[in-house]
Amino acid sequence: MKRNVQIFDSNAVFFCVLPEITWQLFDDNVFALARHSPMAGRTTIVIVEDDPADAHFLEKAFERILTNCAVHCVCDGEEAKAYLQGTGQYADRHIYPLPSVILLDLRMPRMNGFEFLAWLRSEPDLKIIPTVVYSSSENPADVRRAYEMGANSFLHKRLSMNAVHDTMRSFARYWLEDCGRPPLE
Amino acid sequence: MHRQCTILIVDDDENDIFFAKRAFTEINVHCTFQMLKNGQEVVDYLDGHGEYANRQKYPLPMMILMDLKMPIMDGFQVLAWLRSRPGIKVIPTIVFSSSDLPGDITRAYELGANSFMTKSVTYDGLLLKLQTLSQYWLEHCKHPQVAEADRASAVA
Repeated sequence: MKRNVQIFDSNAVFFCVLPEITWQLFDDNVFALARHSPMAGRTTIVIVEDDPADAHFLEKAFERILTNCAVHCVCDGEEAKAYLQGTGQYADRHIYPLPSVILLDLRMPRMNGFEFLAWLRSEPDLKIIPTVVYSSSENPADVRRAYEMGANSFLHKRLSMNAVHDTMRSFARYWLEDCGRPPLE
Repeated sequence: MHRQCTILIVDDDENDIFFAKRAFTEINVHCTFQMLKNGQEVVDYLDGHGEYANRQKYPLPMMILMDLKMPIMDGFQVLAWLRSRPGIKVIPTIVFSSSDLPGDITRAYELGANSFMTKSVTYDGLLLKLQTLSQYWLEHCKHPQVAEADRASAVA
């Protein structure tokens, strides 16, 4: 995104076109450039995970794997719902854009993964967001139920940092590089 | 590393089918591939009509790779039908289409496609995409248990 900027000094006026910046008035004669939200327009992953250790593993893995992609972590289904609805702190879509893909735990307080999927798939504007379940559950009934409720795929939680890294690299390559994703508003 | 599996490849273009099968062989995917030409054949296969009743020869697939624009019954119609069928509705179905139109992508996801991939115009591009797809779906993803639609109540 480009913005037109006017820069004044005592003798001249300059017009520039610069990418992704906003400017703030410091005083009557001096204009400073401030970086616009770094999240604006970037591919975004939302991780829905109540376990801080698991969330940390994922964030670390994505830090190593991804460039130019924002990762936001929310702690359960209720917070994920607030994020997607853009309520409260999540109202600013420049800072919290709609995700290209959601990584979703199953066992969480307040609103678990199944309940979140049921809600998500009933929302006309949000139901198409690809959502991948990421769970330690080995129960085939959980796997089946997740797919039935509209999970796009199911990944098993890995125990070592290296394994998490491998899985998330495949996840990122598939969902962010190779897959066509539905356009979001 | 690849488990015993059957994958349906659904495409009315014989060349695309040929190259997909060749690419999977080149990337060492040791699954059984069943090639179908249109959506009606998918319905017949999954519902076990005619020769497809022989599940020894035609097992239920663990995954479907499907084109959109096909005669008789297109990919959108198959998705709508599949997601209404008990037992088999959970089969991961990936749309593999030459379209990259946002409208087609949105509609496919709305109708329950697990994901959408746009076909590459080159063989090398196809190889890379199928490599990523195979690695993700066959090495990392957990797949749901699938049951015949008319015996779906038996699934735990």
